[in-house]
Amino acid sequence: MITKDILKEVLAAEIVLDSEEEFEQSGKSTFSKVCGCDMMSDLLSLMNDHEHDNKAVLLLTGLNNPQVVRTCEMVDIKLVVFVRNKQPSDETVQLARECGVTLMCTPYTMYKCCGILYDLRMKDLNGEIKTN
Amino acid sequence: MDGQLIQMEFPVKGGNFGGAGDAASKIKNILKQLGIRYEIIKRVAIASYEAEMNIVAHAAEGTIVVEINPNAVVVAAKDKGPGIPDIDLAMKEGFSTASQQIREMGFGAGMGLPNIKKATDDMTIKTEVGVGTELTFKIFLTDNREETLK
Ligand SMILES: Nc1ncnc2c1ncn2[C@@H]1O[C@H](COP(=O)(O)OP(=O)(O)O)[C@@H](O)[C@H]1O
Ligand SMILES: [Mg+2]
Repeated sequence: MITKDILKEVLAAEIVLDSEEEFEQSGKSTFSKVCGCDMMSDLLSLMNDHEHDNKAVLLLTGLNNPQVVRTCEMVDIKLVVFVRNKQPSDETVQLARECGVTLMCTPYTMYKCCGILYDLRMKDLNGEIKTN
Repeated sequence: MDGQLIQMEFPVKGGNFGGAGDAASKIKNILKQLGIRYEIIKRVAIASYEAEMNIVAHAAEGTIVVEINPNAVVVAAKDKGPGIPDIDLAMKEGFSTASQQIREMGFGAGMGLPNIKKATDDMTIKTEVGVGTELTFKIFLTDNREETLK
């Protein structure tokens, strides 16, 4: 089971906002699917087709404006990891707080993050997983 | 909510990037409070958000009117703006006239209208160049969609 703390460790990430903590259930959420995406319309399209537990999905993105959090709110994604140390603006953090979305920053590139999480046997939105 | 009709209206300002998504967020929360099924809420949220982004990105001002009746959620996004000269072209995945500013927000990939079509059970566009656009979509609440469509 991949928790926020494991993700923090493997991605050398910093937690910018822990919304789980605010709801007093820190560490309880687990994540099994990853979407790496900078186009929010793409994310909406993928999530429209996705019929499973959206709260198990985490978003990896290089985009750090409030629209990222808005989009997550629409499709109930609860964790965003910003790649290459993109820092979310105060406005983005504030919106994430309101929407109950946790935010992390990693120094790694999108490619490296995807590789690490793939190796951990996290799935893509179609449920595809590393097989060997 | 048997037999009841709920109607709500939300203003949307063109070019107001900071507030983009406020209407869709409110719509989503109201549907949640009404106890509507999650799958339905998700589809309404996706389509409403894309429709709201289109007003913000392409029009001067508009409103989103949501009607919830016992059969369906019906959303009408109406704007004063440039209108759409060629609807078939606008519906093509990848076609976009969005500005760089919109692209930086993660929109403007020309997927909004196709996304709305995909997420909903029915979508119509009425538009007049130089006047504005009215996009209406419907998502049925009942499971027997085909039955309702007849
Ligand atoms: N409300 C609107 N008013 C004017 N033009 C619009 C409107 N909605 C969509 N369009 C036109 O249709 C195109 C495609 O829309 P869409 O599929 O949502 O993609 P995007 O918004 O990413 O460009 C837009 O780029 C724009 O030219
Ligand atoms: Mg659009």
